[in-house]
Amino acid sequence: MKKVALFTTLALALFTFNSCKKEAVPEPGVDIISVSSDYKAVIWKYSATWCPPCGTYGFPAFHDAMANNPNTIVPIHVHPQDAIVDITSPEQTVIHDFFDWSGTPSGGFNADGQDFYPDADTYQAKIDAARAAHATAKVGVGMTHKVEGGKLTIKTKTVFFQDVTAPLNLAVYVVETDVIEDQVTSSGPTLTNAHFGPTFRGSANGAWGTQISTSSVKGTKIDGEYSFTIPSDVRNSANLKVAAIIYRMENGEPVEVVNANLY
Amino acid sequence: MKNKLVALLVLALFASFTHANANPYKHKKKRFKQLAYKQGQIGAHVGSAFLFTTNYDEQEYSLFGTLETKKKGFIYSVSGEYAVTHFLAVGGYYFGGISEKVTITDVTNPSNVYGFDHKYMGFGLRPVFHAPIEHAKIDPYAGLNLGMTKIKSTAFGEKNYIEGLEGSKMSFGIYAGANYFFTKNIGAFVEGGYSKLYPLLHVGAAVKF
Repeated sequence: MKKVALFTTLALALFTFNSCKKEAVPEPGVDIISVSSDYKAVIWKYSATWCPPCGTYGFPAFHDAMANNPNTIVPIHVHPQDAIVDITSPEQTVIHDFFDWSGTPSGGFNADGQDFYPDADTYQAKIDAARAAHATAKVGVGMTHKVEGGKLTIKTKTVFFQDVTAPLNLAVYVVETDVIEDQVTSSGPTLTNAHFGPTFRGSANGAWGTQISTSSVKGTKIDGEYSFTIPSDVRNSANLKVAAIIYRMENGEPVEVVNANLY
Repeated sequence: MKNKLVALLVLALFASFTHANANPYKHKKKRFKQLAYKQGQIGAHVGSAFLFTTNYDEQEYSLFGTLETKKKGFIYSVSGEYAVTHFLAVGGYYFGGISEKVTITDVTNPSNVYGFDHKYMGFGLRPVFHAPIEHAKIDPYAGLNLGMTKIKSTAFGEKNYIEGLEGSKMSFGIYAGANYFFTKNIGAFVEGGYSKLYPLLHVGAAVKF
């Protein structure tokens, strides 16, 4: 009887070890890289805080596109010298010239188009077309970043979901989010304390990044590490994020955004 | 760590029973016709199993987002053996009913949810050493399990590009336990061990004839 009780007690005690759930929660951008399997289109806005049509047309159109596509785009504001940007990086000049932005506000879409005074519908059409063309992502990228002194240390991981034979570059841009500034308008009052989305502060590895692959098979993972000197016009380094863009290149220029990610 | 403690505990119980009952019934051999284990008998176990550690690569899956794992189902196991000698039996085992759902949520796009439903089952051989204590009711034993665990992996989610686990893997380990017979033929058993891709704790009904 004693022995039956012993066996029963042992069995019951150990029954409680049968766990049913365990959870791992990585914190992106801190110490865990998270690679998205979804495709994100890249949209650009070239505008200035001193530009009245930018406040009336550019700012609302771009922010509508951001609001309508909260998780499926990488939006990047590019400013010439204005109240937000004191220092124009050399990469910004290259990007400006590539898109041939003739004035403000101008827009850019992935690596294959631009428009003057783009409205929200134009942005949306470009986003939808890019996501449809890349419904199955071939490559994904994740990153982490850490502010250390006056520098941002960035780590990336690029994962190939399919075999890809093409020259691919990974560009690692640094953007500052939630920049608050007044934006003049051409009709109506100034937009005071307007919240600007991700504002281009520079690149850690050149205007179009550096080559990461010419041919990779499914399952290939490529690690990268970069250092970015934080410019003095950055208002809050805690609001810095990384926009990583994988470009397919031809003759030294991007012809396609293969995928992108932002956090 | 806890799996190793379970294995050590059961091995200690096995050893204590073996030692405590090494010779006490020698002089009573003639009195007891009923033995918990004897050569020539056929034995079987039917029961539930616990502490099955699945083997998907958590670090790999975590690379793509927030991970959530839910195990479900009732793990059942059956085994049978034939007592070749007064201390050695050979037999086989089968277990099944193990399911788990691994869900990955893309942290940059929380609507992008995907993952895998895994199902596990296993079978194999069981050589078993039975302690020759010649007790009427208690039958401690220890042995090896040598077999194979099969994994069926079903992917879900639109943007799931990760390799699943589908396939078969060899499984081998050690275990120890004891049968306790309430009657001549029917009893209960508890067994624990250390093995990959094999439930580490089994409890249930034991029969012999």
